[in-house]
Amino acid sequence: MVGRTEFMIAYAYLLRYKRRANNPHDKDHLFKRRRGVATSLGILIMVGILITSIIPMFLYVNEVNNYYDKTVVEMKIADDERSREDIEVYAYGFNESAISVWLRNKGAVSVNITHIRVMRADLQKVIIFNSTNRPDNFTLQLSASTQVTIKGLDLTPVLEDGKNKFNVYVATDRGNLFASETNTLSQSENGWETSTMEFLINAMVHSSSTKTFLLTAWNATDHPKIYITEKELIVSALSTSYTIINVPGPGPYNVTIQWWKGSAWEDPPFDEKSKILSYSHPITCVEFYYPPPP
Amino acid sequence: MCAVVISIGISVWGYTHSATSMMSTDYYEDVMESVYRIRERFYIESLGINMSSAPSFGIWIVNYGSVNVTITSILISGSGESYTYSPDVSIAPGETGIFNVDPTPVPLNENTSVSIRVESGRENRVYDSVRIPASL
Repeated sequence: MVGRTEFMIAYAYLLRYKRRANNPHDKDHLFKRRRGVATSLGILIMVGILITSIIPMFLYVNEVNNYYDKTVVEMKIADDERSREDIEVYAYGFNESAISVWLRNKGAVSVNITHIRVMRADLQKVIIFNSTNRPDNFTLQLSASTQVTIKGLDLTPVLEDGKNKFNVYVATDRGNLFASETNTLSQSENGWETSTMEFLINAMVHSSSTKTFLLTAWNATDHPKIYITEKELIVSALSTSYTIINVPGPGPYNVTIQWWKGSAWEDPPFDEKSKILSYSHPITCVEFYYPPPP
Repeated sequence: MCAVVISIGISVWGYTHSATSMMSTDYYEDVMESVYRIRERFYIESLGINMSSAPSFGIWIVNYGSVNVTITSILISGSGESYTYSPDVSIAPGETGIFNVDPTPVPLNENTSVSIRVESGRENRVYDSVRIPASL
């Protein structure tokens, strides 16, 4: 038999259970264990997403960024090495139809010579000496401070009477092109010469109004001065134009400037400049202003 | 409740995985494009003039980089005229591309300068100029 005390205790528990079951604020505890499973699953899935998708993506992006940075550094080094290449080149006659090229590596880095380009001065013919037609010479590696002579580069395919002036260039695999100190090299009856270099006067004219100007070059060695050549130049208002005046060789020159008055050139010239050209300074520049400064 | 969490969780997981894969691939492609642009190296080695028929330019372009270079545009200008040639030709690393721009409306006046601008498909540009010799 159940005693009165036990009955009262059981009844009290029942009442408490009913009260908590009917209380809307106290229902959660009845399902606490089942809801914990779902939360754990959710956390597990979030951790799974983090481990399998998010973190690998950040690692991958980091790896790609490292590769980019590495490339930038590599190219900076390559550009630096390229700028440090320095080769001295002298082309000279070998026989009546061939030349030789002497090379010296003046730079601090070793260079690979890929080819030698010989361009006719009129830009109409070119011949390239590379591993195809000179397999014994190319690719040629030149360590720092070493020198080599490549002999007998045959220019017969590009020789043409009256047009045998050439410019010689040496190319490296880092993308540099070095011109020969003896450019322009010309073939003559006496062999190969370098004396046919061009002597130029670059003339710049600044004008406040649109005008046509006449630039005249004079040889100033003799008195009276000797006429050499002239060039016309149209300059727009408030602008600058330039022209190139070819002169025959080294020496003192005068350049005069006149403007077209509608029926004749202004006389005397409104300005005159003197320049001296030499083999070491074959190109010079003169500058004129219209109207001339007071 | 567990079923709901599992189904939503797997959906989110799948979406996140595909989204991050796609973002990674896009990012990789963008970076590689930049890398190729940085690695691209070329220069105009020489300019020649062909006077055999109609005057034309011969342009030698050297690829000294480590990736292929596609030449998309060559702009020639001088004496107030300009002409754009679009070869769309690829040059392999270490190779030289020879481009004959023919015909050209740019006059070959003696002692005038002609400017050349070469552009690659990766929008890198190189420039050069040549003075037309007096003895054409």
